[in-house]
Amino acid sequence: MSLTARDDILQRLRAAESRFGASGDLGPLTFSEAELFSDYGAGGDQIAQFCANFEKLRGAARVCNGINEAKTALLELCPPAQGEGVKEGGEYCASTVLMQDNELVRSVWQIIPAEQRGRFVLLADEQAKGVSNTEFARAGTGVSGCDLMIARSGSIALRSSSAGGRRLSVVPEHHIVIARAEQVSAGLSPWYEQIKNDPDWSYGVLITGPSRTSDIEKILVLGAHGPKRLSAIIIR
Amino acid sequence: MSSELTEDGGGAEARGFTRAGSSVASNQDHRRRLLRVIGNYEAQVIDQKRGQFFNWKDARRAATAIKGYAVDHLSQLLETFERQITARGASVLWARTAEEARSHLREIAERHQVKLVVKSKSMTTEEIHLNSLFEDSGIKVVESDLGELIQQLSHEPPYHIVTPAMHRSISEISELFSRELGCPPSNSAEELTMAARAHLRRTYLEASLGVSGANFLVADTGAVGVSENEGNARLTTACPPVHVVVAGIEKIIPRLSDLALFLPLLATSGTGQKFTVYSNLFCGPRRGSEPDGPEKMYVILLDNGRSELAAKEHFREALRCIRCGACLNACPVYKTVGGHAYHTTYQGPIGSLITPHLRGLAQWNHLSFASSLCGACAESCPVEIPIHHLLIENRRLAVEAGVAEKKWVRLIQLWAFGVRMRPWLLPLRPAGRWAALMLAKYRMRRGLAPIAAPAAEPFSAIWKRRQKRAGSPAIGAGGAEEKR
Repeated sequence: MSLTARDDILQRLRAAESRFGASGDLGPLTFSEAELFSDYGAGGDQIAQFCANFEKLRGAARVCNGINEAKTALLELCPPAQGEGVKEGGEYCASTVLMQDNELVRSVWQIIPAEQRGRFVLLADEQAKGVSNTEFARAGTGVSGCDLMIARSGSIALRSSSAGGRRLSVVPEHHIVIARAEQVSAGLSPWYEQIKNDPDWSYGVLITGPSRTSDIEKILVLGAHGPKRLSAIIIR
Repeated sequence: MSSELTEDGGGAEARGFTRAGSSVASNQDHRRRLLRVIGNYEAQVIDQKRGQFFNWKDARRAATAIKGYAVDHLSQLLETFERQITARGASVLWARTAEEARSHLREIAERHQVKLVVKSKSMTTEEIHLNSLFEDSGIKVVESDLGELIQQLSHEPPYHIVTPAMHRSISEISELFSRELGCPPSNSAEELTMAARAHLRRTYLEASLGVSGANFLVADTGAVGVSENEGNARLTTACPPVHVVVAGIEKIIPRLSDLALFLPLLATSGTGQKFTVYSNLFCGPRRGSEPDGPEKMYVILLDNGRSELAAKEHFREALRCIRCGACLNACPVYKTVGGHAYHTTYQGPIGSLITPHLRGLAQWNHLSFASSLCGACAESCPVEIPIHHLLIENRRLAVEAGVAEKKWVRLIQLWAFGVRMRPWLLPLRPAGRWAALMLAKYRMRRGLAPIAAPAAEPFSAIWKRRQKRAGSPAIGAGGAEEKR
């Protein structure tokens, strides 16, 4: 009688464990970010710490008072390329800004002046399903929400469920995150607590700066495959 | 080291290692490039260890304990992982051998009528020779990590587990890209990177299968963690309709919260970063409510010798490895012979340690000697694997199994015999002294570099006299006495 690969592997592992495996408890094997990392909670103001770290990584951070300032920041971050909007027939192009349809992003989108709004496309998840990969790749900018912003490293934590799926934050050349000041956290652990028991997401990522590589002679180049530019708009 | 290598010139693999290693060791250009790249790495790692951690040793100790727990509870954690990620909609497939993993992949490719595969960086897929598998069935595979793409286009295996094309110069890459990708030659790393970016974009959008590896398998949540900088793993898993993960079973960690330690640990040791740019978590295919993502996700759990390693005392510690590459960068042997001399999937000290277990002690025992035993590998290891001690253990294992190089074993036997026979050799001492004196005089006459003449009183006599006087056999006490 032959065992399945699964049972065979598990049986061998169990045999090894009964010989050597300590029956130790995982409970005491905990650590706290505050004790391990010297930059955890350093400097007091978490938003300032986030921004400093984020810019060190060559991201652009804007802290805004209210959505009106956020709208201005957004227009500054993605000026129209040669005044082009969404092409006729609804085809996307480099100046197209795809915006995730969540409460915060929508409130910013709503106050974009009507004459400019043409190239800002509010994209509900349901609608995004119908957009092909090729079409998606034509858009120059993606605007999404996130779960948390991590002050100690200048990182952005987001999931498919909180940031309009997987493509919006990685396919366009410029990724802009819009979040509230309350979403800035000293460390990473709260994110894991938040998402651990939520079954309704398939992808999560901690983003620390724009895409980069140094595979050629260790020379740093931004924008290897993912976004070349990364921006954050934080609304107080 | 070089004398050990030539003495231990066993089978074809061993001869290959000596030949390839010697050729790199005498190539000044190659070594200069290697040292420049690694020197850069060392400075960044030191920065991160100091800048981010209160105490690097504490972080290491915590990581060692958690990974140690994982190795001690592999079966239980793997079952939890399987249950959790299955509940999230992924299919888990188990593979005892590389061949079983290949047949899983073959079936998946047939089921989904795959024509084009895009692959993000993964050493485990190198281990099972995934590229040749697909190419043999007429399926195109494209490596998406820039370093891996360079290696694929030059028909060469990765040079380093983390930075696969670190040995290539810009001009070589420029020539390669203009020949293979049809872009204009350039001496700018940025322009070459952008050429690769443009080349790969279409592949992501059109591929019918995305393959990734795994840095972590998170048991309690059923998630696959992949750390990267370029975003190629993200695109590989965002666009194609099917995602396959190929992961070694030792990649397991117990809890999602452990990542708050392991991500900075891996980034620090691997590339000298606080975090890698993208620390991805994949748990299942697209949910109904989500706009995109693969319709199907498979996780292939590969054993391929790992469960045997788990059954070996001491060696099971090697299963803690998180493949950060720190030991390669720290190793004086790797820095001298380069990554290709090893002819293994995993190079450097960790490769020398595990390859004999994964692929056979008889052919690979020579790698136990590809070490100066200086311990720089163990020192750099973020999960405290005593690599150089285990390399000695490998040598012992080889002798016990009767596969050690015979010349080497006889030499050691002769030495051991000599030590045991020492009392019988003592009367020959004056003859030895006389020979040494003659040699010293001869060299002096010929104007050769002088060697010291033997001391007037032999060591054993000094030792005896001191023991009598101090009444203590301690060497330290004798030394202190001398200073007075």
